[in-house]
Amino acid sequence: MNYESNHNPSSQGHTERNKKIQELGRQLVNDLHVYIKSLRLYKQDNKIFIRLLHSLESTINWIVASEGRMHFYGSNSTVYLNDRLLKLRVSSLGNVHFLLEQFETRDIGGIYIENAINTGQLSDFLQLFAPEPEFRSSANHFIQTESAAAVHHRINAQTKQKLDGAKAFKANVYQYALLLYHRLYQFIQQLYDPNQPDPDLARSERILQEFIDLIVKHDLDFLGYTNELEIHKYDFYHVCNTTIMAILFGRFLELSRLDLLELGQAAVLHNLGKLDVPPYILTKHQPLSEEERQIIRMIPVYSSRRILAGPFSWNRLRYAVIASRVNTPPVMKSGQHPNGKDESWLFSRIISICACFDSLNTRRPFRKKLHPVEALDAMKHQLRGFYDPHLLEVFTDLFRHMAVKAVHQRRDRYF
Amino acid sequence: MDVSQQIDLAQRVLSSLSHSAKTQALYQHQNQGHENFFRKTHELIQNYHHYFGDLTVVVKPFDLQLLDQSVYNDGVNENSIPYKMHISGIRTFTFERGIQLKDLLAVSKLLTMPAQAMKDADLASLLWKYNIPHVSYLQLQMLESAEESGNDGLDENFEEIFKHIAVISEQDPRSQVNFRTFDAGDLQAGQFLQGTHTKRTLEGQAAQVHHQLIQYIPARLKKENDDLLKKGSALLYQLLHFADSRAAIEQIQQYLFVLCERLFIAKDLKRLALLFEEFEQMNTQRGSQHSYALLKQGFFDYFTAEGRIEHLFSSVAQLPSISEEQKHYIHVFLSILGVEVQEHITRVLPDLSSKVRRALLEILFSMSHHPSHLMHMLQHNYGHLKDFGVDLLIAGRKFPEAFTFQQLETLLDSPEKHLQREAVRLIAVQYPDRLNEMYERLFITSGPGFQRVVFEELCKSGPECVPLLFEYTESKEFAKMNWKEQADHYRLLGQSKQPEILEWFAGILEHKSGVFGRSKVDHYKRLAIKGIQAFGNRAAKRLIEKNLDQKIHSREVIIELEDSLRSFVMKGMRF
Repeated sequence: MNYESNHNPSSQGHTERNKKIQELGRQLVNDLHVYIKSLRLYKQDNKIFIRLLHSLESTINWIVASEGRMHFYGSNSTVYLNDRLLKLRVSSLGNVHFLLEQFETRDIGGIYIENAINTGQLSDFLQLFAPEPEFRSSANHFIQTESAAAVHHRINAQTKQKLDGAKAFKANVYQYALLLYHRLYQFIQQLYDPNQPDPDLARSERILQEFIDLIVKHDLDFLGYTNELEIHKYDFYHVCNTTIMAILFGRFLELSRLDLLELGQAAVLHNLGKLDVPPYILTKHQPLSEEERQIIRMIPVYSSRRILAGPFSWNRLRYAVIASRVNTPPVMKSGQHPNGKDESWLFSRIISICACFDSLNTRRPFRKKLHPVEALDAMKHQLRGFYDPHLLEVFTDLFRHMAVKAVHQRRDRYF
Repeated sequence: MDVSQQIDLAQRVLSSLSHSAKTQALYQHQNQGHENFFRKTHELIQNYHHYFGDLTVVVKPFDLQLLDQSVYNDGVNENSIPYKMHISGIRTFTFERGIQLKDLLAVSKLLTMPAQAMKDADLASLLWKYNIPHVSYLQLQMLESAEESGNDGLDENFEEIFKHIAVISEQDPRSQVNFRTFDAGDLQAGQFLQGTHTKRTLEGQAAQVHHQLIQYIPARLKKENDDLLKKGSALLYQLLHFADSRAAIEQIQQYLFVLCERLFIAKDLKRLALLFEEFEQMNTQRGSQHSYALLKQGFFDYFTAEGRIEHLFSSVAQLPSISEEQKHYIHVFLSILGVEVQEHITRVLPDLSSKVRRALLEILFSMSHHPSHLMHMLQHNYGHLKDFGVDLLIAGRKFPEAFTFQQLETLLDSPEKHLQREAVRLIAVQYPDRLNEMYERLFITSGPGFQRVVFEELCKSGPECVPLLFEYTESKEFAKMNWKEQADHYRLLGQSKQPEILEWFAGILEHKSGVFGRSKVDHYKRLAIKGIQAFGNRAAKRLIEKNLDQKIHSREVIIELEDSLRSFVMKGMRF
């Protein structure tokens, strides 16, 4: 299988055409709905139908010209155009329901057009939907109809086939983990890109839910990937790996599924503050100045501020509280609440350990990569006091077994 | 049983479930007995399981279908159960054999949750979180990135991804995981893999985690959850501390609003005030008054919208009283909202206890640029309410500019003794120079009850009132009183603890018989002894002792002096 095949220019053209068809389909649904609804109020020779007929004519002829036919059918609030399911806005679903009801009342499940048509032919056909038709629509060679029962049967058969296929479809746990890791990577890439709109957190929640199921049900020992050559991608991998590691560590600590989900979401968001740090500081080879160190120390503050941007949510507040104490040096007392004790939350402590471990296991512009055992040793001795010693003990016990292997494309293609 | 019976039974199951769910929603305020609403549904579903096995319905946008026929439909709207299932990617939904009443209850709570309440998580996500036994579903969902990529042909994408993943799967016999979701981005997974350099796995076994740590974690997490409000406010404090621009505060504005409101409801006024003080401090440091005025306006708009501030202060009504410390915190809070907030606060004043009301009135007076206007408005709107006027006067004691002399003079005619008393006291404190001209009004033309009130209040006031008191004790009106009433007035004089009054008592005890008739001198001496006794300090006791030694008094006076000295000792006074 050529992985690139889906991204060639012809595929791009295909996508564009799909997009256009969806757009025309929505236009068609809207125009038909307005036309049929208006027939209840006005006679068909009323001027208000002229614009609608021209719009319908143009839409249909464009579809026929580009696709060679227009097959429009539907059942149960789902509408297809040339065998593509039309994606409709929630607000228009009521209109679709009305339209299909009108079709079904006249035992029409769909319409089929092979050649270009004109407004007169269209007007004749749509006469069918008038409350009291002035004349019976004669057999129309230009617009053919199919029965509601046939369409209903076909759509249900298609759905059944698809569902049966999906139910039977299985993959091994590693492949699925790869797909989920890749989805998480894509999500994080978008989340940590200041030029892109923030993705919906519900998406990462779904990815993490599946990951947790894999870990809980299948004892998954997958810990992610690294890419040490493309420096600009470091943060994406780092956040992914920290998240996966935190969930795995949480599982080891016998956290519940819901706690694992919260831990995972907090890990996904914990590093957002890096977006507020000038890139030259993050990739600087030489030792940092005191001023630059101060900026680095502010990352948890920036992260929590970014997490809180937007409408209120208790979940986000929780994530922000967790992020505010991730990797916070003990010396940073400034700005603390006069009334509060400086005690980090459990998930902050877990994420701090995971983030540091992942970082030490990766080559950075300013230091070499450490072996997992060396990294754990450094955390225990050189960074003494930074991390919860009890958690670090358990973490060491689990992660000293981490194996890091080079990815061989041929062998690892299927894991 | 044939197909039509199967469909009929499925329809009855789902309609009964919907009915039970609606009934349960009506009684959701009750904590118990909800499972009873689902008994009939449970019986029906067990019946279905008995004849047909698991009940699996196919989810269409506005229908649940079984064997191509609709078995449930609840309209075309965003709260439709099939619709909520469909948009979250659920394509089949199964009630499995062995389902319990509590499972049905849990499912129905989720299915009937309003669409509005599902802003943060869709139905599939909630089903995952609730992890309800004997309920399963097939979720086939294109994740968001599918829409972003412009691949709108949903079916095509599924097929393409099926094909793509199938090629991978065929190679591997370890197939054991069902796919739940699909993402158009999955097509790029292979390309992604080519860009990676190392992969990490866990090898080897770790020892079991110590049971003490395992036990500690749930308790710790619960505590953290309980502390969210405190920790959240500490975080906001920190963010305010480090905020370097107006934009930085605007970013967290919504959280500031909600948390401040929650802190108020939780009566954690100290934390609330700390946040506001930090906000105010930053405001002053940055110096850009205009920018921060907008932020303050944001606070005002939030707290005054939808009767929020009134609601908050109604919750204060439950407090028995407000301490000076709490008063300070509330003052800080209201100061940020600005003086305009007084209009909202005044609305809740009638519903508060006297103590709380007085405290709030004091805060309002201290915030107000024109306390007399505020006083006038409050008196006009609420003066007729029981105790309100008194609270108003008591709260206004510290604010001399709050009352005009005329306002107080009017209150002297009030039928309420409390009001009269407070008015006299305020006149004595705030307008002592007007007392002389008021003598007649206070002590001559008024009734005895009012005179007593005036006398008592003037005794409590400063030395400016002493001459007026002496004048009264020497007046005809005083002379007309009986011994008991006179003694009561002398006691009040003594309780005032003014040095001039003690001297005056001493002077009475030194009077010679020649000035008054002997019995009259003794009468006043005995009154003075009562006053000295009420004075009750070391100097007073010394004065009694001195007079006992002098032996210039009649037998009656000596007995009075001895009684008085005894009472000093009896009260255990140690000087």
